[in-house]
Amino acid sequence: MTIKLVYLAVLTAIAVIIYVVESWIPIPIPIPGVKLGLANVITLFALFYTPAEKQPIKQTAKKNQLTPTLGADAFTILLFRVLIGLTLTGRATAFLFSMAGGIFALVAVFIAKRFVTQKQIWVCGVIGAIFHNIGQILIAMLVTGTPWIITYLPIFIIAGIITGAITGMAAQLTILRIMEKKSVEI
Amino acid sequence: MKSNKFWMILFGALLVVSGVATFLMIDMPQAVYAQIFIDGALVETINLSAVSETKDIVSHGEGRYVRIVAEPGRIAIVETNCYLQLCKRQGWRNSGVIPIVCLPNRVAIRFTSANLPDIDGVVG
Repeated sequence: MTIKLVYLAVLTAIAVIIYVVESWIPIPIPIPGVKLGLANVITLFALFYTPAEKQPIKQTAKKNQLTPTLGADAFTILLFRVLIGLTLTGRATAFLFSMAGGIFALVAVFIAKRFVTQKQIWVCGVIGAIFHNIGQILIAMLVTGTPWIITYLPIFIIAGIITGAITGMAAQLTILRIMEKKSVEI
Repeated sequence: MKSNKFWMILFGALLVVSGVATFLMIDMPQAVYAQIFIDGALVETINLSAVSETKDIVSHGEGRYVRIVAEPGRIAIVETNCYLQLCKRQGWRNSGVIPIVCLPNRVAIRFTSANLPDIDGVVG
């Protein structure tokens, strides 16, 4: 339990730092909601990798499989990352958008996870980013009361594919590197 | 499990379709009317072709501050108190299906070629 708590706390801290640092970088495209979303690397990481508590690491590494994880871990990290990140950056109004996008992405990746291998985590990155943007656009439609904001969707899909491939690949390389290292240690 | 090639083709096709759709939506003939929505309500419709001198529209209250300026043939959000200032950075616009949006302030500007009533509002 303590290990898991520390693990979640460390991942949340990393996600918050990435989120805050990314908020300092000016967005080159003046379209609301379009950004790299580097903190999503941590959410993806949490969905695809957890330190084996009950299961021996040796056994998991030998099987060369992704350890099964709970979406609850990723949701916990997402929730605290959004809460702490928005408090630190002073953008409380963005809470609804961040949470809606995050939950949409989480559910989509959780489902997509069943259809990909460990060398296709980048696919989940893309799917997550697209659904993150869809979630945000739906909330924007509700908040502004203007359904025709949906016209932003094609731009959001393009942005989602590009940014999702980058963040997904980052998560994939990190996970594969850690698993590779564990295999060597064993 | 699908191969990497499958996913690349799928996302590539999605990229092309979205790119074409975006291009078509941006490359629209010049609009005549700009409809300004605040909190989902249509507050003003401006005939851009009939604007002869600069028109200032300021909305403030409930933490919101947005200044919209209409000039002959074009409109822009020129001042806002939102964090990222993305709406302001969208600059002067005179057409397009894609609206100017300031999400934190819940302000949107839609372009239309005809002075239509707020259809969405009627339906909603």
